[in-house]
Amino acid sequence: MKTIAVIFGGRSTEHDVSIVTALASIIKPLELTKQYKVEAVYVAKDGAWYWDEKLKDIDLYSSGGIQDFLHKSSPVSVQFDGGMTLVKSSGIAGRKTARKIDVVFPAMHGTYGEDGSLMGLLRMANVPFVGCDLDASVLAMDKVLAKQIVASKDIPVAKYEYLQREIFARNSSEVLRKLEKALTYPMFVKPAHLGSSIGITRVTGNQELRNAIEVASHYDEKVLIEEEISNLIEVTLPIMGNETLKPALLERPLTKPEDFFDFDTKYLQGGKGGKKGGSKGAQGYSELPAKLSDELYKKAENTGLSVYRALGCQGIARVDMLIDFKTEIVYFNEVNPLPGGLYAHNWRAAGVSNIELVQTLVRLAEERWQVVKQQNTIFSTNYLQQF
Amino acid sequence: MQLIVDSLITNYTRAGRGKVIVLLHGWGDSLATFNDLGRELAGGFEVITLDLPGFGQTQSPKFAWTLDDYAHFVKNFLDKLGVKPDVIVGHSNGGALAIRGLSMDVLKSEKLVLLASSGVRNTKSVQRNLIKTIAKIGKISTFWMPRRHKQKLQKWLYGAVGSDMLVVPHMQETFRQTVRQDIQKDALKITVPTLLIYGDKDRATPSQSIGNKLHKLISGSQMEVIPEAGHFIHHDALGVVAKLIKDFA
Amino acid sequence: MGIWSYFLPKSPKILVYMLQQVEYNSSKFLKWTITLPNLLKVQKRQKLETTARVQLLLAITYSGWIFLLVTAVVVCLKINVLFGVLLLFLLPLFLICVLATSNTLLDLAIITPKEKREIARAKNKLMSLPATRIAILGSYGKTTTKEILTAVLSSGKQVVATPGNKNVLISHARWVNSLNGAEDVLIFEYGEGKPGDIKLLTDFSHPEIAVITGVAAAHMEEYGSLDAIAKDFRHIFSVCSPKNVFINGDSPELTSRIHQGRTYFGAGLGDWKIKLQSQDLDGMDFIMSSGKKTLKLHTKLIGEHLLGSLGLAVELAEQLGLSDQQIKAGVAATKPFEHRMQPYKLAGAQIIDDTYNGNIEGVRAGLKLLGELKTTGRKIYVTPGLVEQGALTRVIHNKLGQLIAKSQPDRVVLMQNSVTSFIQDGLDEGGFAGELLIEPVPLDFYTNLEHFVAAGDIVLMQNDWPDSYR
Repeated sequence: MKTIAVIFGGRSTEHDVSIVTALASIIKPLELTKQYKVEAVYVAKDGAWYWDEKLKDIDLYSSGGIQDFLHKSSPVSVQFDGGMTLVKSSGIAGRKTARKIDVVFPAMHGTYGEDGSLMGLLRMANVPFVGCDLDASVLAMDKVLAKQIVASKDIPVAKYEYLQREIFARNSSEVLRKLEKALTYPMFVKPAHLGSSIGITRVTGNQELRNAIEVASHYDEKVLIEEEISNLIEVTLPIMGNETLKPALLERPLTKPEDFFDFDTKYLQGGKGGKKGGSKGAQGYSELPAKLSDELYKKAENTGLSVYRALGCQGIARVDMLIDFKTEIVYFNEVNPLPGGLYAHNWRAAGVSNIELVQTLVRLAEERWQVVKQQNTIFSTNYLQQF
Repeated sequence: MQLIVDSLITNYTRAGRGKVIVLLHGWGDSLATFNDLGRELAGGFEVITLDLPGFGQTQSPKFAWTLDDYAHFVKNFLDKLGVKPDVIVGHSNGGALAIRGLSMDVLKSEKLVLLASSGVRNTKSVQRNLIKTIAKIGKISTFWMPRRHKQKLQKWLYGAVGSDMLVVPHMQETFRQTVRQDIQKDALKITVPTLLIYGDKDRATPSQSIGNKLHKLISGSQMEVIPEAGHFIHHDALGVVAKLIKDFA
Repeated sequence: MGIWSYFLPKSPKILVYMLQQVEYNSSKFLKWTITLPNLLKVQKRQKLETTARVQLLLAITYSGWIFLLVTAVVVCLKINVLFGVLLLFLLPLFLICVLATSNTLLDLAIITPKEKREIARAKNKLMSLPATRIAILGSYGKTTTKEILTAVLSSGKQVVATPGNKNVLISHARWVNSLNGAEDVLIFEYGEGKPGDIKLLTDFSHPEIAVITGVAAAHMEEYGSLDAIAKDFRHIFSVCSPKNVFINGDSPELTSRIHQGRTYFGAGLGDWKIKLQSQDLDGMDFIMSSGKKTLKLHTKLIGEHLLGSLGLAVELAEQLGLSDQQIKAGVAATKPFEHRMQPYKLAGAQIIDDTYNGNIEGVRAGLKLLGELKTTGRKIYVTPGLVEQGALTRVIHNKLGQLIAKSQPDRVVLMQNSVTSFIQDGLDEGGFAGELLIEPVPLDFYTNLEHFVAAGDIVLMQNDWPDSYR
């Protein structure tokens, strides 16, 4: 039986969401296949890694017992032995347990996880892992870079500008003037690297713009400012695959016009501290599949697939798009390399069960690794002889 | 919506058109407490609510704050928004904040509404001293308990005697400094028209003792006591409270 | 390995649960426990129902547990450590014996006499009630037929039927004692567990009308053969006149053994002809026509094998004086019962829960339905196999496998137990080319069904495999 390590948690604002994604949408179905031994690796908010069977129980987190657990346990050791092996010493006189990991299933959202940090580590360690590789993750998580790459492939994106926090701090009036010259209100101000709608503001005037940039700068040193798309239909499309791509269904989140998809609505279902959030967040609020004309649907689907390819995504990702229903132009908005809960509800409606979803992703990870293995990057040289 | 005020990321809402009403929530609460009231008032007013530092989604202050610090914060917040309030409405501790702020001339407003406002130091000092003693004994005798259980026990104890101190545990020091502040002298300095609304079943800030006291201290103030309403009058008697404020504003 | 589980504090509770599962039958209990199975692995499909009897048995068993422990310690200290330890090792057997013995004593001393009194009282009362008495017996389909008759006849009469699965003599007596006397129709479901049961029930309730729903291999450990089952059923004729006994013509095992009575078929009965118009997961539309009238009927039930019982219900309704309007309304009121061809939606997939079905005829009907339904997704068939097939187990499960293969589902899920390999043989012989999944932990599958399905799938789950079987 192969061993799969699911790594979740992390130093990001989406720490809690990733716990639910890991436990409900990844670990549970993987264990139900009875084909894998699943190890839970939890990265605490301070960045320490822990490995334990108890970490698979959602009650540990929702009851607050995780604090006691972290207090009592010592972090896991990882042996980079040409692959990856988890090592833990259990209380009784330093008895060590070691487990070699065959495949890693990253389940971290946001910074220091989804943004390529974990992928980089796994590439170096030479262990197969699920999902986008390092390059696609970095591009996807930086909204500005993603737009630049996608636009270069002639895919429409909203008119945008971006700035660095330090530059703005030094010369805000000048920067604002330039922005107002390049773009028209209303605009959206976003931290370039975050997901989940944190720090995002819609602005209609100069003072609002200034305040909004200040807010976004609080979260990120790179800030994106883009024009609002009018006659807006928002859609999102989960896609799976390495070379051959399989799209799920185009989903249209339905929200009130005043508050676009903000953190609370997305994950906490309108209430603060709601425990029913997590992977089910978007479900109660979407049209699935999106009710568009066949033509427009196909157009959006194709745009999604093109974006996936343009950024070099592999395994799974979710492409968000903005449609102006009058002009029928489909704009690329952003890409999420690890959709919350894998967007399992969408895949299910598309005919892929939870279990099939995770099995396919593991298979894709192994296939990619086989290909990468073929590339010879080690050469023997005479370079050292001269010393 | 968010705003940076005094380097703290601040969560607030702003809706409606007309005279400006600013709603200040109480200890351990957040702007969500005014969701329904705000909706009622937004029809004819511009309603602004915010999460005070340490609550809701606004960042916590970096050191323990006093009521004065909160008053200054609210001033800076309103200045940043470029807003001059016509009416400030304060609930519970928010009311005490408003009284302090107005008396110091840090906050300025045309009118003031106090919903079940606190700020009158609890005169039952015997009870308070007893609680203090029990708490100290408890602290010593439970040293052996794992931290989380000890915290739970503490929270239960404080809750059982009706204290709000551990509702937001990390703000313990701020609580001590803020909520224990007595603003009776400040109430004397209030010159703007003031409306006090209390519920007759309010056990946290009883209308007889605290409400009436403030009513006497604030000259020219009006007071309404709503039957069958508790401390959260804007929940228990939403319609009545909304009407009173609309008529008064 | 499992012996250690008997030393756990919760072992008495698990042992009493096991006793409850075999309906307090001490000999069945002993048969199960004599092999000293691992108590922790006794999969708790249901919870222990705490009745007064259970509490008493628990108290006795716990006392026995403590008694032995204390005795062992005393022996250790006073006599010999070795003896004391040996005594301790007797704990598992001791507990089992204590429980079995106290259960039997309880039965003889208290329970049985009490029950005898209740039955006598009920018999008296029954003789004074004016209601029409209908008995339903058979190896399968009794409860379904009972529910159908109740639903249809209720449209014009006050009908009460023996509740749920309580179809043994003492339950009948208790039920009769609870009636208020205003009922028009009383329906008795006769449960057959061993030879002689039917006679007991018949003599007690003296039905005027009877329905024999079929003969199949069920409770074979007690009956031994289908002939023995039929012999038991024949007792009904000692009380009921043959023109009032309806037998299911669609059960060849029944019609080949009992030649009296009036037969009813899915295709019709007496003058009636029954024709199915259409069937989908929302129900069936069918027409019943005799020389005198034609009735267009709709039911929310699904499964062609139910048409026989529906037709019978219509005939009896007419006999009892219901109008056509009432009959139509009655049939329209019939709907799927829990765990009997019960359709529901889960995660976009269509599930048909027929887990209470326990015989091959029901399987046949279910697979036929599965074959007929159209869908964009996959067709999935789930079964653990059929319990209590006795000596016919291998043959029946091979047949089951072949039947499944014939309806060509995309995927088959089998629960791992003693008959799995027989079903697999049948699948192979039937040329099954789809996906086969064998679940080692059945509960994991049933409770996590939403992880296994997606939109467009149709899942038919049949049969159940209770904890007391291996």
